Amino acid sequence: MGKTIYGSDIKQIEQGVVSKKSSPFMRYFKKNYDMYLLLIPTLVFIIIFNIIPMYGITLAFKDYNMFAAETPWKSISASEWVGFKHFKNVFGRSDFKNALANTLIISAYKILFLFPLPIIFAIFLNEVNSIKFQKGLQLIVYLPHFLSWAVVAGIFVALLSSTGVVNMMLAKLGFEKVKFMMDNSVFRKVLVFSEGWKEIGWSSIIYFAAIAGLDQECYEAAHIDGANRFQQIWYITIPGLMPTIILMLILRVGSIMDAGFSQIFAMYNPTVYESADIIGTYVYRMGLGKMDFSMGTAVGLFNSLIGLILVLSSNKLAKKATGKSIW
Amino acid sequence: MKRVLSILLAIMIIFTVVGCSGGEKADSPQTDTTVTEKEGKESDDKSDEPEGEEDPILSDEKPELKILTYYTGFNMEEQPSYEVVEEMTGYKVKWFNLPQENADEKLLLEIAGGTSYDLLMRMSTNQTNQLYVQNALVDLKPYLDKYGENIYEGISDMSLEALTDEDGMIYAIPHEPFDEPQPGDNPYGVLKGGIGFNSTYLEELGKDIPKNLDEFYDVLKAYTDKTGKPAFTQSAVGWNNHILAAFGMGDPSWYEIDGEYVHRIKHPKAVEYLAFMQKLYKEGLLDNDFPVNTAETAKEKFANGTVIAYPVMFWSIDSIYNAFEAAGLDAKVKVATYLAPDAETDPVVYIRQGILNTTCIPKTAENPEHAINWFNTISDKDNFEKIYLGEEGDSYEIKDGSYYPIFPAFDDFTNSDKFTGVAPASNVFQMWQARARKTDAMAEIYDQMNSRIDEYKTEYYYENYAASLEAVQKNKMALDTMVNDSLIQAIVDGVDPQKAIDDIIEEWDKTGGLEYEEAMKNWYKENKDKFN
Amino acid sequence: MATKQKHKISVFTIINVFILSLFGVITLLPVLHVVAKAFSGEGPVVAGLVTFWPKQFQTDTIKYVLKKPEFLSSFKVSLFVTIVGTAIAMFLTVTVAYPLSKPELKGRKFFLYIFVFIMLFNAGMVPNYLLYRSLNLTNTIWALIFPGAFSVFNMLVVKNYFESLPETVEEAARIDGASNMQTLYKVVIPMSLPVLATVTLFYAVGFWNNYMSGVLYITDPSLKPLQQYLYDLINEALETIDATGNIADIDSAMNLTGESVRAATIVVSTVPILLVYPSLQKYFVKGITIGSVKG
Repeated sequence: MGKTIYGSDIKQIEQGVVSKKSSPFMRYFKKNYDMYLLLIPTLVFIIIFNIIPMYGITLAFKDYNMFAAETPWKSISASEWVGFKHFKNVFGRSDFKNALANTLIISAYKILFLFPLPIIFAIFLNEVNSIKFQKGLQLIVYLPHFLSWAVVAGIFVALLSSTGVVNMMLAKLGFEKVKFMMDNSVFRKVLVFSEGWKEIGWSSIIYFAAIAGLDQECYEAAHIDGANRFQQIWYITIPGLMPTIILMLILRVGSIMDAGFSQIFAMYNPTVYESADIIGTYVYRMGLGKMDFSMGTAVGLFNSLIGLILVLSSNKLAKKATGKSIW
Repeated sequence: MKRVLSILLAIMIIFTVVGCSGGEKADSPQTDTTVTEKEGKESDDKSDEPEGEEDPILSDEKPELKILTYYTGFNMEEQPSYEVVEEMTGYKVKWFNLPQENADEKLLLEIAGGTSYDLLMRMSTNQTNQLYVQNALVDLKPYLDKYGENIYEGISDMSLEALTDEDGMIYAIPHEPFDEPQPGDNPYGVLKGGIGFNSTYLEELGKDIPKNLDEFYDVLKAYTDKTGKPAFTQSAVGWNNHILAAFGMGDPSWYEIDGEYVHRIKHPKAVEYLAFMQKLYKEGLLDNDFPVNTAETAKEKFANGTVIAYPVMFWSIDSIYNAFEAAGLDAKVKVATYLAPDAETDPVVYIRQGILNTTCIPKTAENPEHAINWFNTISDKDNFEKIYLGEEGDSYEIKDGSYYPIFPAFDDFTNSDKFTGVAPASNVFQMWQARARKTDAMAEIYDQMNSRIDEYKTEYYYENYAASLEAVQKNKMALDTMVNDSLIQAIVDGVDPQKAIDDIIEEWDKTGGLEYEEAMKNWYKENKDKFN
Repeated sequence: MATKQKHKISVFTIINVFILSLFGVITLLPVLHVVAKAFSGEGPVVAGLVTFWPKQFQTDTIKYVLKKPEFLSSFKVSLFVTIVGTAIAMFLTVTVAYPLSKPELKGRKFFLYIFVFIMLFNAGMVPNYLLYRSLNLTNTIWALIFPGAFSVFNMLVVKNYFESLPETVEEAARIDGASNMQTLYKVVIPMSLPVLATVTLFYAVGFWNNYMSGVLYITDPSLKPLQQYLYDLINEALETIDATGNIADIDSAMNLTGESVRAATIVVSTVPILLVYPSLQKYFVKGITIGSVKG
């Protein structure tokens, strides 16, 4: 039992070398049924907790009245279909275009500037020989991730106000003061910078792990061959990180509609709505989803659809370009 | 080997799946529910029986009550008042809290989902109304008639009427605010905040506390001219009620002008108000960072002596004095309350009337009669005092008709207001004032704020009674936010104030303002005779 | 760790260490600010005088927070949820990531589509609540565990790593007669410690920092998770004044928590989760030399 190895097993099936007693499928299944057993707990879990509630997505196309039937669950089917009413209601608003544009722009900025930085940070920290330094710095830079945005916003507001440290320094150096938090041309940069400050360390953890998993022999071999540090980074580290980078990029692009609600909500103010009001903050401020579950679902569905399109297409793109993809 | 392992795994999987759903039941309070359910049903049956000599509800064993209340930062069961109430009523209460965030949605979900709370205590009028509209609330009238003697006694006719529908169904019990005088009462104590001034700076400038708009501007100007720093700061609010007073407005959102009910954005003086704020901002008298201020950063600028003025509430005075000391300032806070338009005219103090929040019973309740009985017990005049303030001479004392706390006993009553029913005593407002005199500094500044109350005109306003109208619920929040944000923007941009207000009104009319206005105007016309 | 050989200290190293240290200082200072507030007297905090070092140093605020019954109960809830939740989550993640890392597995693509779908689509507040309600999970500790007990994102990270392992090692194990499950347990998991440590950290932090489940499924204050307690405390201060400039509830506004107590609560509720990373760090820095396993 179980003497045959996995890989050649498949080959046998593919080549049609099958014993006469059982069909190829049965044979395959007999060898690999434990792989499917492994899948079962998680599949059961997601069917119960993720897939069954998906039925509720129909709310986006209904006028949900929780008390329409004897239980709110039955009320979902009992509520009236209204087609795209909720979508029109949200997307038809004059300010919505601005919010959508801001969402995409801020997200794009964040991906452009903040996606590469954790990778660069991890690679360069890896180049420091002292393990103590590596460990210590890793611990320090991931600290801000644990402060909530309300707290971080308070700190940035204090630093960047007209009497804050930054403006004092600018004034001393002979520059004009900048209204960081109240200037539409600057505020997005503040958003990108503060998110970078808070999350670079945290985001780099996954790359530390990936680097730690790289084959050490390669480095030794490269060193013996006389490769310098940059060559080692370029020919060993980066290719080794590529699967992780591609996966992270695809997932990050997929969440483009999340431009950072909690951050912006904590940091923005009426004077920068023009440049920083994203869909999430707009919907929240206008109370659109408030007590209107259907409309909230509609907005969520819209975001998910965009995310799905982006994940599928960037996955395809990645496969074409590098041969690697999520599946 | 393989087989054994897979069997083991299969067992494990089954165990996880079954184990989870089985395990949580043992842990959950749901098991308790079944017990109380039975008890509840039994007592239900009994109450249906023809009334005998003794009401079984009052004499039978008392079930544990499940009460859902609004967000409190503390666990109700950890408060000293919890046991006081338990001993007083004989009921054990399991308290539940709505979250701070998404409370309205959560309440609707809980009730629609069938969770059986016996009492929904201190819900907002909006929340109660949502449930009432969905027919999810019990008619309280039969229960009140039977068990609610103290409750009836403690609530005003107007509030009760507001929560009674055309069919005579009482769907909620009103809680009226403790911290406001009733019409006809002595208004002393109604002022709880104002624009605080740094006394040292005032002396250095040789100025008095400003009483009207010109004096206010004069002090700010003198300070900024002398120091080059902003003179006044506040958090990110567009309407400053203390300054608004100089333009004939104040706390209310609605005003009667020539017999019509008018929102303050359409008030004839709104443009002047905006122009004044713009002037303060442009000249650097108003902190140019105010749109990004939180309540804290604003306070900080006042407490470390950057600005001369900032809106203070009496209860923040101790922390400000601590901060003054830490910053090396030897100053007191002198408060200008509502500003007068000019030296000849007195400002108006508007006193809020209305329903603070409401208590109701969902249809899913298992022990509605017990809940009302419990609520009635805590609404008894003596019981109220005992829960709210404790015993005279023990936790509070009365000096010259004013209530003062006695420490440390009074510490137990910090959150006691959350445990009170309706306020049956006519002197609730005076009793509340014990809270305003917790420290010497608080008592002193509270007294100073109210020292000129006799010079002010007082007017009661009733707009809060309209809070549950559908058109109000639908539009008010978004409109308030829009107006506030646009005002801040206009103050910063310095655009022509008339145009700014016109633009806001245009947006207002476009986004539901007209509907909101119509509802308020009609409501006012129908009800204005009831206001005295 | 990459190169074990001794290098002379090069210009590159000096610049590199300098820039990295600078970055470290920039991230550390604001954190120090919060810590300094927690150990300062209320006066200097309110006046905004505390920068990176406590003024009027005291530890009473920390002690006060640690004694608060609400804090303690929330702390216990979060500790339990984090430990049990992470264990369940790791089990669910690894068991599914391994089969899906095998390109030959029939039906793999179908499963992956399902997982990507549930990663992107969420039914929303109402259906989720109703599900937990009908399973009688609301107001139980499980309502804080199940919502975070499986993350497709983390699963993909693990699967991705499994895929990068050389197939030869696993084949060697199978030749020795190991079943798929044994291979996973004896070969794959020991080789994947860095990524498993990472994902453990992600899950633990996710459980510790989650507050939405508390908002949605819990009304019993004794089950309130620590993050919700903390979040409420911070937000209370922001939300007392409504858009019309009126104070909604005076009695609550009067009893707001002071700024230094809030800072102290932030500190004591963050320290426990900060300890997770150092304890997992050894799996990062050592690195597993795959070569040694290779036959």
